[in-house]
Amino acid sequence: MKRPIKVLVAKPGLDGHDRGAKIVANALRDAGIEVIYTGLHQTPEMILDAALQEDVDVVSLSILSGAHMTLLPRVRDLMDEKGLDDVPLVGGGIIPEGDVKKLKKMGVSEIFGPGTDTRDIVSYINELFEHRSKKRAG
Amino acid sequence: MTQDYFDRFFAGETLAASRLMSIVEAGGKAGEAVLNRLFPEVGRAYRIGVTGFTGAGKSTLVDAVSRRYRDAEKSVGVIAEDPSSPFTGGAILGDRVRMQQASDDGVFIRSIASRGSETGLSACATQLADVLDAFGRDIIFLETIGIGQLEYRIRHMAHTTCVVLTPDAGDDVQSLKSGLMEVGEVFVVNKADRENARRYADDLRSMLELRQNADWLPPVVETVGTREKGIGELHEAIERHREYLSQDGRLEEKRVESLRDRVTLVADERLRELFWGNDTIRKKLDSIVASVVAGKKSPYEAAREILEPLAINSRK
Repeated sequence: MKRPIKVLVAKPGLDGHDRGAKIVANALRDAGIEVIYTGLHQTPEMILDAALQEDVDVVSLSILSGAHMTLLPRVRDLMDEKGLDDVPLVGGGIIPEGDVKKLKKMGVSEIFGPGTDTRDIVSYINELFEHRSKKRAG
Repeated sequence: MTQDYFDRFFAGETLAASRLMSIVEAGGKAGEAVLNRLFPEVGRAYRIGVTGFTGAGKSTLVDAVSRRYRDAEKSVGVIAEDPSSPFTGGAILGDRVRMQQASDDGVFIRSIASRGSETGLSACATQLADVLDAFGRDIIFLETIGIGQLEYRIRHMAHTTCVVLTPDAGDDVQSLKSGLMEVGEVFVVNKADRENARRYADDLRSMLELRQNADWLPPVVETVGTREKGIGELHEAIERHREYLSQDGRLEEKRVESLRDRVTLVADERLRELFWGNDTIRKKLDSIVASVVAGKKSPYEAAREILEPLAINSRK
């Protein structure tokens, strides 16, 4: 049985706005993806635990609080430490262009800003997964 | 690669356990090899089944009771099932949202999607519970979506089965599906702060008392999961049932029953695969169906004929 792609959708930090995360979760589900949704107010450690326990293929964080420069690199570091270095991390939310470049240098695979078409997110994840399956199989 | 996972698994590494679970989920020979390797280590955990209708508050209760076990320094595993979309195969697995309090690395939560198969789902939940059992978890919760007759299986999957109900299900107790009534060893009336809750619980109690030949009378516990009410009572009720099982060889009896069920289930599945996967059988099916279509045979005669190769000492 071919297993569907599994994506963690997490809301770290203090902001309580999860509408974006829910829209993304629904779009992914409709594209045949299994979404593990964590709910609000996750610490980086909780996100790491969830990613480890669920063995997800992609970790995605939705951040609207402005704390992306802290939260994304922190989660990336924790993931690398615990052997999830082959699992891509993506972010979504209001993140300035200048920060996007810095974050990508820090190992964040992609950032999706406001107004992103959910279809673009789906096809991005599908491509990531194909790439990763090949790598794991090899 | 898998051997490396086993070494890390027995060293207690979460990621190794998690990746082995993914191999098991994917099934096939590799999945079976993992289960074979781990089987000698399986059987130490106490398994608690939690079933009931969607929205009854199962995850919240599992979260709250987990914390009682964590307070007693027991490690906990949770297998939480959610339905897949029958249209796209996708799923949103949201049980973790309700399991925030208990979330620490002493609680290993694994979500699984039904992926279109109810029987497959139960089998997979048990297999993942086996991995957590071998990983050394003391208590394992199996949270299943409370639909369909196949939930009956849960009695073979868990030592203690909790059925979670709510007073506002729009039904009175009389209309509860009989399967659900028989499967419960502990009943929970959650959202007990709602109107009618007390009456609902009392009705449930009097119905349970009518059951004949039961030396275990299932307790009915009233809880308000979101406000932590009744959680201590629920924990105690589970532990009382555990105590009951530990007497008079009941635990061993349950073990035999559940292993028999598993062997039967696996063999049954294998049998179908082997049988319908066979070319000769499939060709024979085509020709027999043709004779049914032509009115020469009834479907029952046809079915008997196609099963003939399996007739081991069968009586005529």
